[in-house]
Amino acid sequence: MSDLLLTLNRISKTYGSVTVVDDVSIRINTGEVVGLVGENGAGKSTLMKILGGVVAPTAGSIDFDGEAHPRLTVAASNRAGIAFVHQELNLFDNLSVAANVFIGREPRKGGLLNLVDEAELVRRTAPLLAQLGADFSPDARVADLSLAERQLVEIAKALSVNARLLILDEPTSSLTATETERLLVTVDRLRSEGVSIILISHRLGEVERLADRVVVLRDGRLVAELVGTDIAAPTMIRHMIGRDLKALYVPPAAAPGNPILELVDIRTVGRPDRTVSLDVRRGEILGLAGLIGSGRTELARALFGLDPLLGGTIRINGEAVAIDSPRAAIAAGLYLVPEDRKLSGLILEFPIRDNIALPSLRRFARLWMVDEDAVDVEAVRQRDGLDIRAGSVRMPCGSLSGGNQQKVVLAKWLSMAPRVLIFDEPTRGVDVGAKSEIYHRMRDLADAGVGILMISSDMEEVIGVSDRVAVMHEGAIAGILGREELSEHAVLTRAVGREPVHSE
Amino acid sequence: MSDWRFRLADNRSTLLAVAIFVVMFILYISNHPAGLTANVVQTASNKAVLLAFVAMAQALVVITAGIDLSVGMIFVLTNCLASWLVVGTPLEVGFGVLAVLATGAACGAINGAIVIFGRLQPIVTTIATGAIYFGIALALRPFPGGSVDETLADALTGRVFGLVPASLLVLVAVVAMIWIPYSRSVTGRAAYATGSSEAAAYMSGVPIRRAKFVAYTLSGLLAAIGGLFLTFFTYTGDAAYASGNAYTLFSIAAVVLGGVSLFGGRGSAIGAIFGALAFRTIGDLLFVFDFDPLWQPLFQGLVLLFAVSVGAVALFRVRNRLDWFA
Repeated sequence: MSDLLLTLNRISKTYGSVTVVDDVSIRINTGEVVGLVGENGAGKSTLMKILGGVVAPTAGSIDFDGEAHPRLTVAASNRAGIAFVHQELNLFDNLSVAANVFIGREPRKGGLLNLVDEAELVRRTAPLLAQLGADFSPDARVADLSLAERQLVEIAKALSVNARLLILDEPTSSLTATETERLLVTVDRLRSEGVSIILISHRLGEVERLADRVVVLRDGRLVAELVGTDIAAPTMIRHMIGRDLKALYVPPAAAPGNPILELVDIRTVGRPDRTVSLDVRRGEILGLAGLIGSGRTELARALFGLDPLLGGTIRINGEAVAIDSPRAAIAAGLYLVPEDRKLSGLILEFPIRDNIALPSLRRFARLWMVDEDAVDVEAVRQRDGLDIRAGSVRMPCGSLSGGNQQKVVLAKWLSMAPRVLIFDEPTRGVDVGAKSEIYHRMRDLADAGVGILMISSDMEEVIGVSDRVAVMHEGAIAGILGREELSEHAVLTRAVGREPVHSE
Repeated sequence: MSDWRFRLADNRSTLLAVAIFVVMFILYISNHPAGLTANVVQTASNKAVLLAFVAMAQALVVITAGIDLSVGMIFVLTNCLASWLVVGTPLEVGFGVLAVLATGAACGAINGAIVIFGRLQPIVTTIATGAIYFGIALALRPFPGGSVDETLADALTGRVFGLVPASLLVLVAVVAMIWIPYSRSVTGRAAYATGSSEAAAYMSGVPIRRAKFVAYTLSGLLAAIGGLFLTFFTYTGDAAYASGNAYTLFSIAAVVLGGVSLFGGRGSAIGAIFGALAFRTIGDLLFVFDFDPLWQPLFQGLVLLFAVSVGAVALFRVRNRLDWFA
């Protein structure tokens, strides 16, 4: 068996009367990948903050190098060789890879000016990149790198301080399938070199593949520790939510009606040479699948008035509408739940109530003044309806979990009677429990007569939730699949354009 | 979590500005040879309202995540204009006042239009327009001079019922008639949303352009009210470059002191007013403690740094608390 690197010994953390982490003990061995899974709010982040020295535990100790520490400081955490790669990358876009890796610890030339030794910087970075199997140069500007490559830079940064324990927080959430594969190979390689890794991921398939051991947290408690063949997605899910997840697909209450959104020969800035024609029927969930770069997001942006529409007609409820701005789209009853909710979906500093009221302020106004009580009533109604977990609707959105933030975005639009709702990656960074709630809400909306267009890269989601799936390839629709024809294989072959298709 | 904690957190910066001012003012009054008399309050009020109006003007723009470096120059321009127009028969005086206010609003509207439609950065735009406004002021009053209706001037700078300074009442009236309706209106909310996250505001269909335009225009109007009061105090118009610049810079100091975030989306004009009052009290404090007036700028700077640090500490703590709730 491998050597013990570090032990979390009966760690608890309470804030006032709320217990966030409750008596959790985890041991981490050298060269071991430990999967850490749990819904949002299960206590994963707090536990990691304790390891990073940002948060002091209320009880318990952290044992390493033969000593028990009642708490870690940030400096002690660094000394212990614990390094983080966060979900949101912390890189300087305008600096080179090498400069990023050694930021603040640059080798110097000495002498009077003590300038940075650029050559040495590159020389030291190169082996780190080689170790990770990266094929970009240490001189490359971070701005020119893909997301996956930037992630490698973050990992290189962690390795450059001789990390013994690397904590990867949702490392693949924004990577494509190939990029993910490469990252997984890198993790494998690091393990074989004796680096311990804590892998936090909602993508259970990856955890299944990589982890030697999986720790499942629920409500701050360690509910299961899985090894060997027990590491399987269904088992993990069962422990995470404490029950078996119901089948995703819920059939519509009634057969879909007339088209509510009709797209005729739409041309977007993504692929001006291709056209898209598509119908979303009243009461259905139409999945829009395709590889990254196939033009799905561009289509959504054009429909919502963010990108100029180069050609074609958009009809809502049979009437042609001119959409040249989000305001026009909203006026037409077409709303977008964007992919990057933190940037463009929500104002994080604003309270929940103000975010919900934002697009419909006019409706809450009496004589131009916003009726605060009416906003409160609506916010509370939406919070209860969507089960947004927040004690007060005056709580800032920034302090909510990803799933709850997404529900606030949804609440914004639900309060204004949507006709068409476009979801762009609706459950990215959202935990399992909140995911199924969002799916149910989508179905309820569809049953209420709303047309739903759901863009998703998550195959399980596309197949599990949609009534029909349109697959995009290189800016055009490569095929539309009905419920009975849906399979991962059918979607993928069209997404990569392998199956010859006659027309759009 | 009860609501009041979040409400308190929302208004913390404004309350802090009020507290800083109250402490300073008590210190001032208790060391003033005459103590708390109507006269002392009137003088203090008259000195402070000018900066209070300009700081309010600045706050409106800063809330949209912009900055207005022309407020001081609009203030000077409207002062010069008032020294021509606010004279004569009561009717002429009335129209003169309206014309001055309209000019201020127009200056602000021009700033807004350039920022919105020209897509230029507010800081550069308003440096340029500020120079233009000062140029016009200089053309109006190459040398200090002119006059103003003294009845009106004395009424607005005197005391009501021999007790309350009229200038303070006007300030309160302006808050009640402009700031409060604005901050509660759809447009005012849009201004806060725009200042917090323009992208998210746009995606929510918030009227960003109108919010900015109204903010800049009202800002010009408020600066013009300040310019009018300057005329009422001095009875003349004076295109004083240094004074315009000083008011611009002090307005930024007052806004920060008043807890309005320079990143936009946070704070209130009421905070800015108390920031202005506190900033003015610094000078008065030096007076009652018998410092050489030559030291005034240095001490103003030190006190400003100190006060802003106190605000920053509070903000820092709020950040951590928010982290706790996560």
